[in-house]
Amino acid sequence: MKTFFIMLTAASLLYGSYTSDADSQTVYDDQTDLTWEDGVNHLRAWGDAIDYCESLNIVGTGDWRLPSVNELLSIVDYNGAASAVNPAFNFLINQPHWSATTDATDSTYAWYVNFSDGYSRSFPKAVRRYVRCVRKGKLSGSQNANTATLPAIFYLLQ
Amino acid sequence: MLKLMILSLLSLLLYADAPVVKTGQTTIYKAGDDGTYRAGLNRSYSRNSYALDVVTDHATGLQWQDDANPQFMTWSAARTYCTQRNVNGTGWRLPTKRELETLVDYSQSGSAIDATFTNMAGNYTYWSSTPYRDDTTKVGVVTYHNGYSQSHKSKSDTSYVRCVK
Repeated sequence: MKTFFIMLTAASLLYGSYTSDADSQTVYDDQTDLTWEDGVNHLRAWGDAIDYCESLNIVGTGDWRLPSVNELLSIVDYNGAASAVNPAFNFLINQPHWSATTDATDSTYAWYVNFSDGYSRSFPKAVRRYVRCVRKGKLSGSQNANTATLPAIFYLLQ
Repeated sequence: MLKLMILSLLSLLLYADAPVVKTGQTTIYKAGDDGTYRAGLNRSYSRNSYALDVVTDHATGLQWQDDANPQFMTWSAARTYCTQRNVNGTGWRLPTKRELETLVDYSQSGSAIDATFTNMAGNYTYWSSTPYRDDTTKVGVVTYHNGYSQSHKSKSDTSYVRCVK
């Protein structure tokens, strides 16, 4: 019985889940077909956050961009034990992260997602927030090994 | 063992979440922003021609209640209301916060929801099924008025309800 549920957890993590690649410091989500940057954290104003992602290059791949608010919300873990940080990520922290989506009611504001509680809020673009870049598809240079799957299970079973 | 079962089922739910749809933003405020790339599934809605109180979101595959008689009630009453709903069949439930957010049109500063929804434009907050992680007596609520906003409310408070299936 216990084995069954461990297998079920493993299966749910393997099929429709996140694959972390330690070498490239990226996480691939096969449900959304998005690859996320998972490296050292940077605090930047909104415009600088866009410039950072636009100029990012990981294992020869340069098509990174700042995620839309919907993309950023897709990695929120509403069931997390201590925060809304997705356990597949090594560097993601429980702080506000900029999205590329401007607030239509005031274009000097943009939406961020706070991985403390998983909520998005509108905030002045001049304020520095954390940055997580994204790109469409799997990185061709990454190993695609399920390196983060086991740690994620251990995290869930704690 | 119980904890393991719950975790196992939660992990299934975690990966059966709403897909990423376009935010609706098309204005480019800065090259490289959301309006530049417009990432995600195309937004597409239609009213059911047989069950007129139902709008289908073709991006997420969800059916939304959209009738002219919005119910205003506590969270637990709203849950029961959806469970008992029988319009275009049963199987209705309260939407998750993420599901409510997939309807937001981020290009709008007035009513931030597609015009196909003719009954969700008011200054209403809608219950979600997603608990607020810092206070389990509260759950997330979403508003589509003056753009989009979201907050959390005590379950014993009252809000509007829109069921989904």
